[in-house]
Amino acid sequence: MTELFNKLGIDWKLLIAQIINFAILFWVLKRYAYKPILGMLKKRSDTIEKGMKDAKTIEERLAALEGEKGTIIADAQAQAHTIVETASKDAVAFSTRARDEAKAETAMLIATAKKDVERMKDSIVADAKAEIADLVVASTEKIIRVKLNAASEKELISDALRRAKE
Amino acid sequence: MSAEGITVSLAAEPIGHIGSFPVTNTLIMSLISSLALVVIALKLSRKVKLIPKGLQNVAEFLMEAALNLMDTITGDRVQSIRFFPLVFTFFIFILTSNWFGILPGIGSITVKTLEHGESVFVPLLRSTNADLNVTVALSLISFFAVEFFGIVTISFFKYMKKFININKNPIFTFVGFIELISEFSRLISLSFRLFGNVFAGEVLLIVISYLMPFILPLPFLFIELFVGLIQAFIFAILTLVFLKVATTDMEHGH
Repeated sequence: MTELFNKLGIDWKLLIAQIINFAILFWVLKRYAYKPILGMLKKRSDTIEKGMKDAKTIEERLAALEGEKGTIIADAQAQAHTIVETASKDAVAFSTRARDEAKAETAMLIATAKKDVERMKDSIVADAKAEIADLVVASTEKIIRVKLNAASEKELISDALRRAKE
Repeated sequence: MSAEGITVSLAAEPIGHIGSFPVTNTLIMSLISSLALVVIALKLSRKVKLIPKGLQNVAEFLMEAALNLMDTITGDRVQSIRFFPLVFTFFIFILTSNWFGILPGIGSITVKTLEHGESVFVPLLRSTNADLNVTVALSLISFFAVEFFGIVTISFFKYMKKFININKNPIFTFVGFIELISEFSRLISLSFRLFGNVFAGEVLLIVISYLMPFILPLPFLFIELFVGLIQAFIFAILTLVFLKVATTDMEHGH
């Protein structure tokens, strides 16, 4: 056996040296090549995965916001519509009321004016009647004094007064 | 190589001695290729960035490809990453050694040494894996790593049941016995396969260069490049397969 090993060149010292050599190489490569590189590969794939996930959530949120925006706009439009409607209704009501009020006032003014005019007319007529009666009395007196006697004077006067009163 | 003919030694030739420790040409070569890998690793570790550049790109591509290939055998990325350091170190070390071994000057540059009292010319450098010490060392590491991972993963008794089945059917006892033999035969098959291929390549190149030094060795150099890659690949993949088999619980497998 020993002779066979010798012929094949197997020497336990060299064998152990080679094992140690490989062990050191293994440790160095593991520590300085595999660990950082594999770590980096993992880190990179994690980063990419995270990026994809983030992009997806952002997209979802964007879609949600888009929907929200639509509903908000629709709400605002409906609200604006009702506001305009009520405003125009108010305006119509206001203008109607104003017109009614103006009409009423005008009517009242006209009525008072009419009353005033009536009153004035009455007083004027009354005044005129009094004046006319006086004139008639005076002129009648003059005429009677000249043409008629005293007997018929009283009758004439009362007659004239009665007529004037009517 | 002397003028009178070709002398090929099965064993690696010692260049000198440190005390009683023989410094062989293959030991120097294995140190050179290890050193090259260490330098690359150190250079790599200093500038690993999220956005890769240059060397990091190459390293990442190699490792990613290796992991993907390993996934086809283990079927599990976590397990692939667990076995990765060992399997990939086997691959890269054997590959580097094999390719360094066919560089010009290796085998042809000789030094004068004393052997058994007479001075002889021996090659200063020799392909690392053309030395059984190296390949046996590698297969011993592979063997013990497989046993270690097997025991750690599926517990000692379950692991031993693969080899020792006394209370059951005698067929299983026999199968276990065969398993045990095949387990140890891996040591020989792994080491001698690698040694045989690389050593044969060396001899082939020496013979061809001796017969016709120009042009003719070229295709053989290409073949050796390919053989170097294939042998590194085979060693690593076989280790991975053994690891996978050892860490699979057979009781659940059936």
